Amino acid sequence: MVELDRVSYWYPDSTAPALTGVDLSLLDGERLLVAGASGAGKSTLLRVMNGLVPHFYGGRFRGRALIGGLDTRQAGPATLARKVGMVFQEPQSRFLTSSIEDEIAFGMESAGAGREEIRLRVADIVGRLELGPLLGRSLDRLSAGEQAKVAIAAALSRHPGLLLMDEPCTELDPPSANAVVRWVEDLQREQAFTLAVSDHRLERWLDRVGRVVILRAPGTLEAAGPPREMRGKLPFGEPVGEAAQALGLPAEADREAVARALAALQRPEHAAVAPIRGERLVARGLSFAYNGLPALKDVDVEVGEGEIVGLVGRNGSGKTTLLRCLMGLITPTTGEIRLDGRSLIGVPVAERARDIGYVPQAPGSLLFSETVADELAFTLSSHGLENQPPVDPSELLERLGLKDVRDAYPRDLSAGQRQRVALAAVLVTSPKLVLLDEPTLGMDPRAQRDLGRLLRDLAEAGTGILVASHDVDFLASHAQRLVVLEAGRLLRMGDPAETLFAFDGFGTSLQELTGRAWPACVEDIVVSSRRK
Amino acid sequence: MPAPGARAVGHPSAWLAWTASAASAALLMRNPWYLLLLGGAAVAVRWRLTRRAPTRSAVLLLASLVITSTLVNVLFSRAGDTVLLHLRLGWLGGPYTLEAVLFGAAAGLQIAVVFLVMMVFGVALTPADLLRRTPPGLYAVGVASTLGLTFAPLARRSFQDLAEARRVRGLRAQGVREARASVEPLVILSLERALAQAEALTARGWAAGTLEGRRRALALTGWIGIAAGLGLWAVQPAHPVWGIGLMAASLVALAAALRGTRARYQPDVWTWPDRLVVILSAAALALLMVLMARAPELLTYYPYPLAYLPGLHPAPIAVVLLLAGPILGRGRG
Repeated sequence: MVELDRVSYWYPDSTAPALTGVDLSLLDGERLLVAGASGAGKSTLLRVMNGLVPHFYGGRFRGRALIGGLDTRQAGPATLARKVGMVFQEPQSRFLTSSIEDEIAFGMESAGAGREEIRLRVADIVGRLELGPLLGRSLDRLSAGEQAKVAIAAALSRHPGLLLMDEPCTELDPPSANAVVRWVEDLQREQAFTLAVSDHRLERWLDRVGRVVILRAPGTLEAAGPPREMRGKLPFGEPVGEAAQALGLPAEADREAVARALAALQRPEHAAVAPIRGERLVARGLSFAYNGLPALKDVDVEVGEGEIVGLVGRNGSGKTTLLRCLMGLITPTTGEIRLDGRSLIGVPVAERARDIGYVPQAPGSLLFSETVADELAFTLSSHGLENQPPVDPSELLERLGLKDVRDAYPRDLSAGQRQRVALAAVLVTSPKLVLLDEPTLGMDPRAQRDLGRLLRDLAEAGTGILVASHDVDFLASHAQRLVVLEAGRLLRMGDPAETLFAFDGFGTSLQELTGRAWPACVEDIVVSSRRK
Repeated sequence: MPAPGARAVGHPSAWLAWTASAASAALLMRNPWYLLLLGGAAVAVRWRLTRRAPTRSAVLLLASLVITSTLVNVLFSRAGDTVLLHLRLGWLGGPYTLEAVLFGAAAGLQIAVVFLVMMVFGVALTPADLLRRTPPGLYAVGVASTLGLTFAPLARRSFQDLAEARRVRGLRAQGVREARASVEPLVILSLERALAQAEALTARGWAAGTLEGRRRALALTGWIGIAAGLGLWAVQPAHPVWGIGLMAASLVALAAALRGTRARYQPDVWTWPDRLVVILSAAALALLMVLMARAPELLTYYPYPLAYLPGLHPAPIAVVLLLAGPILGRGRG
């Protein structure tokens, strides 16, 4: 199905290659996981397979890519679309129509299929993919998981021989992501298409693919082979592999062996929550409605001084709404918010920003200056602090690993780097409270670990941190307390391991492996071994 | 109740016809009375479709268009007999005339009315409607117009994101200064979003059905013929038969080339109100063309050298009334 022969590629105006001499072949019906750190070339490799590289992006292309017998140097994406379907990150931003059936039919209409053929094919795919209950609803009224399903249905509508998926589950909550992965696996078995998927959460796919390729910047294919052989070579350990290492087992150890070793661990008696030094944020009875539809209902939340609190819940449960209420971007219909005892009701956003650092889900929208250093200077000058910054901007950039890109254009950076620049831009005023909305989106595990370390440093310095995230492994590793929202209501709060385990579908990788609440993350194993 | 399969706002092609006629009227009329009537008709038609009045920001934008046009004309035009003010300000000084005020205001009003017509277009058609109506061979135009149509809503969203980001970074609202500083990031953010859609369009096989062989040659001939016919009409206005004849023959060739090249999963259903919109729009356009050919002075307003009150004539009013027809049709409400 796929035959890549020494493929190298440079984006326009770039001297560094995005892919370097990649050789890869995929047989019909094979399932491939593309692994690699951010910027390793995963998305570029997938775009070579449908001709977007180089036809849509331009740049320099060397080598040869044969997809279903078509040479991509001659056949562009429009021709290849007959054989290749693609699911992008953030599928909702790529929808071209407003209804589910039209979205599925669009590719066939473009291909010039007859009306009856289109009608039969849409009915077939709606039936096979069990989308019937969604019909009649507008695409923007679907949940993120449902939108991902429609994007996959649209990609499969022309019965492609090859399905490409570029981090399709990034924005999904854990139950939705797991449901989509299982659904794709079932579809692939039924329809026998070739599948190539990239994801940072490797453990979701490792047991479901036949082969893993590992890319390393600048787009070099470092290793390829069956998942069992690749576990020890992955660019960053997936949680089970890391747990194996922490337990002193080989990284490629059998999952059952790891599960047995984890089950044998004794939970330390006082392992859980560190004492809270004082109440930094107290919010009581917060409610909010969008056009009359309740999004938050009587929610209480507290963050202590130096405490990291995780906020979890399904897509649409009200996490972002809560953070926006706390920041003042929307005004709650009822409730009270206090920071260090001072009421924030009626305090404008710009004034709150002196004490509260807020990084939204898409940090790119927070960046608008010419250079990384200018971003920090902008925040300081907005607060009138340019002559006496509470934090030295150069030191902060160094601490966040951004020293080498201080003069770079922020929007040209990788997702992880952009996230850190956005963080630096709000941390430069040394806020008392930091609100983070899905900070690990698009970050590889190594960047996530660095972020976790940074949050702990901030907490040790007394900053209160509230993190909304679908990344349960991240929260289990770094949060001291979890708050669970469901349909706008506070469902429960407490110790991360117990809370995640009790919340259906939100178990961490280790909890799913062992079927037990503890250990929830590799840090638990480390703490346990230290106490011994 | 709309017919089964019919869209609540009506057939996209009917609205394309209405937009073409209304935009032509807005571009050809300069008489402020007719422009005010046409603008009012566009607001009413949009309200019929959405049950929403123009937002405060839209009204401010329209007002700023008229004021800017007036100010620019007053500052740079020295023509007119009715001097309101004479300033000694170097190259910027001189006589500021009433005629320049009236001419500038009429020009600004014209731009504002075109904007109002495009607001109706924006709510009556989606980017997918345009894509589906893009003739094979003109895919680049289809993609470009789709990007153009999505750019405005995306830019509005991007502007809100940017304004929010500035507040979050501690900047208080600064009005014009903030708007000026937002231009570059706004364009970049909106383009990034528009390009993401273009990438999806490409990856899903848009342009795959491009015409090949004889049909491609026939379509190409048709397009060239239409352009040549227009040119011929322009250079030989006294003998329109040649130009119009060439265009008509080319249209037939084009129709033959494009016939049955693409099917639709859910074809838009024509209803009587839709047909009526097309008939009224065509009648308005025809009347407008006749007025342009026979009595162009009825449409224009030229206050130089001495200001006068623009006149009113039933024929241009009839054009506007025909275009206001959809007010009586159905809407979402």
